Amino acid sequence: MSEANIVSLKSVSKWYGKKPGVLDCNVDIPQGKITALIGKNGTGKTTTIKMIMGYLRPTTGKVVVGGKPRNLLTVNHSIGYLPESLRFPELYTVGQLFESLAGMRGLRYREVKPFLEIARDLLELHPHWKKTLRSCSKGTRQKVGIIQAFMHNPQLVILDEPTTGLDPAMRHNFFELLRQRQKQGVSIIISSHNLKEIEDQADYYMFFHQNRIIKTAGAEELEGDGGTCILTDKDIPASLLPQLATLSATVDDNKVLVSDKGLLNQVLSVLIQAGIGVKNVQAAGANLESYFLNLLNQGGGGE
Amino acid sequence: MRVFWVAYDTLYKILSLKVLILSLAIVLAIVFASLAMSNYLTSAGPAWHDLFRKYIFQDFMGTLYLFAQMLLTPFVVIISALAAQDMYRGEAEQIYLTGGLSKPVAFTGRILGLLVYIFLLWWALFVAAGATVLCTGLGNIEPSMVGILAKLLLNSVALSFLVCSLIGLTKVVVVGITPILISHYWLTVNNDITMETAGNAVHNAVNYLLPLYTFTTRGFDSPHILMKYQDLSPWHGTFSLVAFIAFFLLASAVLYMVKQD
Repeated sequence: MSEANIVSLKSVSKWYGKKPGVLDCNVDIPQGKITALIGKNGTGKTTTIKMIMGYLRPTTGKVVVGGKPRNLLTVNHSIGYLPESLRFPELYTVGQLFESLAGMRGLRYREVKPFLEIARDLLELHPHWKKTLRSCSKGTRQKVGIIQAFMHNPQLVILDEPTTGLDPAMRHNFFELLRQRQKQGVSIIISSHNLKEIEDQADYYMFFHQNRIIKTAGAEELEGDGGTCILTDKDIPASLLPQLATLSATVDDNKVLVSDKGLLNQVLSVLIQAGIGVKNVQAAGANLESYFLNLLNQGGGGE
Repeated sequence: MRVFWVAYDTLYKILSLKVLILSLAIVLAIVFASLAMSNYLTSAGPAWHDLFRKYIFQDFMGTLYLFAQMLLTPFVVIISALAAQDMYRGEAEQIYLTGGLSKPVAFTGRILGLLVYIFLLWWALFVAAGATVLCTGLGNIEPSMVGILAKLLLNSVALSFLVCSLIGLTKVVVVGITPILISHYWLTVNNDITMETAGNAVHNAVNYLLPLYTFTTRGFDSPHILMKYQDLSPWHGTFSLVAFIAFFLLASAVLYMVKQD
């Protein structure tokens, strides 16, 4: 692994009996970047995260984090983690939980207090600080989960669906916190289904499909690589699909993705002749969702 | 120091408001049900109390131990299953295994927390029973009371570790609750014991497997329930119990270290 990579997956596969979790992953995750894991449900994102955390052992291959290979007994000294589902003891108050977590992580409370105060203000946790977790809403508990992932000043933070339950304002503040930590050199890995919010934040993307990483790309690469997206005023009828397919166009309800820009005019002609109105034409590369859908329609892609 | 924080956290995990209330309710129910079944409430006047004090005391203590084993031990099994569920399954535990907390330390803390809870439960029963004995004037707190409750405590610890092993192995909570059936089968076999059945193959097998409740009849056809408890645990029983605890603890630890979820 080069020094510029915080995580390396080398020929990693994970099988659950006869069911594949992740197949043949060869990926380096860059240090100091926000890396987004993108993919449908059950394509291996969480499995990959758990192998990086050392909670799952790869069936084949090797996972290296911070230059050291992982196994089930590796201690996560400098890693923060927010799992998809959170459950804390319900009788703790929010403040008590952080005190307890600090103790478990070998820290004095006063060492983490400055960060906790900043995060508490940023995520507006102050009114809930003395409430028991039992009486906190799902969103508040999610904020607690986010803060605990960063509280011991880790160099790598892995967040699985971190914005679940957060309102739009809090999502904005959450990404603010992410950027603050990134500036301090922290590497962040996020798994999210909300592509719209993630595309403005991530520097690096890993696309999962059918239990494989089908593509890795930097944010700059996405800018002009996704073809063109045509938004129509109604859903495309099935009778047009074969004709559009010959023009390298794929259809998703009222969206037509044209991967070959040279054929864009022909696709537009076909649509107009069929009496379909065109509402918008934009570069698909500027839209992570279109890029991802295009990637799936192409049946994957190279690294 | 980390280990104590994990133990502290484990207590918080176990003690939800419902569990806290239920724990106290069960302890109090055991004590008052035992008192109600001891003829204390039906004996008319102080003279009758004085006359039958010894028998009322024996009835009370015998029934208390029986109910404790019938209700409190299964309760410990259920609580252990719930605690083990968090330890061995899902993402609840994974959030803790960051920031330098190693699995051996986390496991030690979890077990320590569970042990403290089980101890507090039996201690509460001892205090409630002792207070009842003193307040009703039935007798004094005897060393045998401590001894028997300590053995029942150890017995529930062995079952608790068995629960942890089962859940670690199968990841199924329902499987973790099955030791309740074992403890009740054991209770039934031993409770039905008479001089004729003592020493037969089934009885011996049960007592070697679950040795705490071992009983010798000493020539009584229908021994009093308290006597059964006072004769608890011969040498092979104590040895087996300690061996079971060590084995299940080790198995639980290994399963915790190698668990994948």
